[in-house]
Amino acid sequence: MFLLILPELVFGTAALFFFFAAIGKLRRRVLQRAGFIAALAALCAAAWAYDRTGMLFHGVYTLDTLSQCFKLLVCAGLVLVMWCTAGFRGTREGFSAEYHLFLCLGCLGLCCMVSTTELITLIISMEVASYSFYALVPLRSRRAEREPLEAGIKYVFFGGAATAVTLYGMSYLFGLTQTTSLQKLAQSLPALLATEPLAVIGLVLFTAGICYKLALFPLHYWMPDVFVGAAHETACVLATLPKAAAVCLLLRFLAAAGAEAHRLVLVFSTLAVLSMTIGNLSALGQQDIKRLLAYSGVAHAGYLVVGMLALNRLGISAVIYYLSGYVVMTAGCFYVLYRLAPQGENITVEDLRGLYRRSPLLAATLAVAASGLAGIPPTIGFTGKFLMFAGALQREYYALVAIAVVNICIAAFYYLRLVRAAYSSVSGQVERVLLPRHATVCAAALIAAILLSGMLPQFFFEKILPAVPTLLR
Amino acid sequence: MTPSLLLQGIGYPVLSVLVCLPLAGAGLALFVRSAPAVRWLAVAVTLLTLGASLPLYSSFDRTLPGFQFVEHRAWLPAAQFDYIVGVDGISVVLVLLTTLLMPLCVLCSWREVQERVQEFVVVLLLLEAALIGVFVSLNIVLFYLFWEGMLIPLYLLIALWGGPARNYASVKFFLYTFAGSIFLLFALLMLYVAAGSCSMPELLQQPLSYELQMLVFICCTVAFAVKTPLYPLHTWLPAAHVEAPTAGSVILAGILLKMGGYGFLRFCLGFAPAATREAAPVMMVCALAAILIGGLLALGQQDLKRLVAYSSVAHMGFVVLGIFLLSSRGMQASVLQMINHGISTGALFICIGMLYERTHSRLLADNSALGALMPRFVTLLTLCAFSSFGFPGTNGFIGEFLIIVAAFEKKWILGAGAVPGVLIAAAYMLRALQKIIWADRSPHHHPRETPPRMFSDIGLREVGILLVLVFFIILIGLQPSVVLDLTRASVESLANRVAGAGR
Repeated sequence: MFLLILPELVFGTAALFFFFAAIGKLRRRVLQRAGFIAALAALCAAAWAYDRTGMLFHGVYTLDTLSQCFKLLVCAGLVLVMWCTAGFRGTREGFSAEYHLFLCLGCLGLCCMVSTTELITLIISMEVASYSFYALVPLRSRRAEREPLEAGIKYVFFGGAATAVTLYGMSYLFGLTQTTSLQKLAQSLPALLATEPLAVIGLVLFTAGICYKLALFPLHYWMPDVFVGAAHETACVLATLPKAAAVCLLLRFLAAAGAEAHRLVLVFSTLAVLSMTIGNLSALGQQDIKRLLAYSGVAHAGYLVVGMLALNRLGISAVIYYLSGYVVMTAGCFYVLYRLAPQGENITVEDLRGLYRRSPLLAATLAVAASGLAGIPPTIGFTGKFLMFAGALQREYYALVAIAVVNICIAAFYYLRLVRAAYSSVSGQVERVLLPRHATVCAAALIAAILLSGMLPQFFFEKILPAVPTLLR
Repeated sequence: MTPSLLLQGIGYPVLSVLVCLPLAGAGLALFVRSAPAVRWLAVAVTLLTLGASLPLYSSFDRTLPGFQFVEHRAWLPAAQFDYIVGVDGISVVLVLLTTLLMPLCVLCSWREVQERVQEFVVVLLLLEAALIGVFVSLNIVLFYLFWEGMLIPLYLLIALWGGPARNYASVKFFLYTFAGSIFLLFALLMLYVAAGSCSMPELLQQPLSYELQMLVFICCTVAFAVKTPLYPLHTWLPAAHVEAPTAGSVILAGILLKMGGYGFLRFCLGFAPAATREAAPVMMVCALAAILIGGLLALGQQDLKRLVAYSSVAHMGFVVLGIFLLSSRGMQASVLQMINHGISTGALFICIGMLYERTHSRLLADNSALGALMPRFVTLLTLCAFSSFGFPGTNGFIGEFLIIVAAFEKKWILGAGAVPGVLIAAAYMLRALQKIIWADRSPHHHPRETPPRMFSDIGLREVGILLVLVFFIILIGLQPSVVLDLTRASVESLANRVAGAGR
């Protein structure tokens, strides 16, 4: 029975291993190999557990297809991130064991987050994930600079504040419903939301912690600074994995509230609109690519919420589909950054100039990933957005979709800037970027994944669709 | 299977082959390093595609209005997406135009493009696949996929091989068309949600409410008006044309602009007939404005490419006018005029490209008095220019004549408004021709008085390219039924559909 939580067990064991490894003196390379093997093992475990469902710990821990689906996504995302940033050159020397320890613990927390259906367990697993990731941020090789520390502090303070708000909101919810179980909450919540404004406030405040992870407006302020301060590897992790888990939780809560909760829908659609618009407009003027990607992540949180609010078969499955695409596309962008910065330095748009001559493969990866994020066919970015918005239109959210579509148009400009810089001509000799073989394969895999998943979505939908009914009653 | 879908076989899935051949060619070109080899590969692939498209002409059943050569496969059953391709009379001629122009694009850049030939060929072949895809898609999402898929290659074509201001022009082109496409995306989303299907034949059978039709019409019109380009959304075109390499200009003018006209016919008239009838007067006014303003702007240009670009605005104004007359004759003439414009403007851009290779300038002043130096060139140039302003006996005459007749049939004022456009066209073309051939600095001016210029007349390859186009200019001019027969049935059924639609 405990095999149902095999991915969690794998992460826990790996965390223990790295804990003891931190005491000993293992070589950096060995530790990284071990970390990659652990991630692969977790991925296999998640794939094995995919269609196995059940309840554990007196109903606190629900393993439905949805949670297993997101667990698979988190594990696959971890493997991808580790592959893209193989070598972890940007992280601090001598702290490899600790880095991997916190990475595994963080993923353990994320896996727990997507499976738990009880509020207190939820808070605990959220904090496990948060604290592990807090510790990752300052572990950057460029120690002399101020940014990593500043980023670490910012991440902790903002995160702590968000957790406090979450707990405050939870006290309202508990006061109103006398339960911390999501199943019971789901029974009384729709009626309460319709009559009791306090329930709306409570639920919105409760989701603060989730929105923080998702980087939804107004809890997105940490993201640009943390990205700039953290190593590329860490930023890549933070941009992808917690977002996936947060989407799962938000889906669960929105589904518990029901699609008829108009006030809640109003609140979240406002947040989505602000998130998209502010994210995209802020990204327009950015020079630092990580900062640009951070704001693009804020905008993407908005798009995802548009899809989530649809709360129908098409909308939910499209959100999961798009999210997996977002993970791959973002990882693709960070992969290029990581390969371009041998010392782990931050890259500006200006540094990309002439990339096609320094490394045609990196330029192509960036072009495909950025076009994907911009939503240009035939990438997964287009197909996913199309299906999400179609789902939202089925609920007749015309204005919301119209604003989202206009935002995509704004966003195209800054993604195009990246591509244009990468393909602009430079005169004279340029130094070529040398890629190891595994990195070449990784780039090819990223390009193929972004294009093929966009062109042949049916394969993914077959896998995702069984996860949807758990949310729809 | 709906009756409008005709699974008429010629033994192999011809339309998929047409889309996949250039794609495969592009993939192959990635592995060919030497520049001459990759050029020959491009010629072979485009000619092969042309050959593969010929059955479309010979086996197309001219009596049927529906879609033919249809292929239907499941793509994303979870959301009712299917892979459907097929052609009717309107799209089949545009597909043929595309496959005809692409080999010429490769040939005309033989000497012009010397850097990054491999990438150039890849981009060109990707463009061909996307362009054919746009015309054959019968699924609106697939349509959008190809529609946008064409954007990046063309952007790269301008941004990488373009002239000095290519950055400005390429970004302007991209943002203009992308902004337009976003409106299209919104319209497609609404069509999809309203009808629950993405297949065009099914959408054609579902009556949509008037309000929805109006919304779809407005969104689609913005997208297609940018592409066509219709006054006042035309400002990206001259910039893009001037900076684009010759092949880019030929594709842009010859094929890409036709996507706008095709979109009007397929989406606005097809899916929103009632709204179209309501909005047709506005569109006709815009079209007349495009004809007159485009022509007047062309009259004042010193840069040859800019001149032809503005003349394109005017010509496409004729096309849009013909479409929104909503009569069978007008629409048929519009489709014919799209083909004509593709051939003659394509030929003009190729001519300008040839001039530029020799004089390294596109200014009229730098290219004057060439008649004695390049007799072969100016002969062919004259033919193309005559076709462009609609000289009787050329294809341009038939198209513009039919559109003006249809306009007079509809309302005399429309016809009277369009006639000055023809006169202006003759004025700007003859002005340019006269300068290029004779120049009139003094009554007895002789080319020998200027410093001798060292360049030769056009060679065999260049004569060949232009002769192909001149052949079609004269063929359609004397025998327009080669095109009109193909389009008649489909256009008539579309005209009936619009005529039968009421609020």
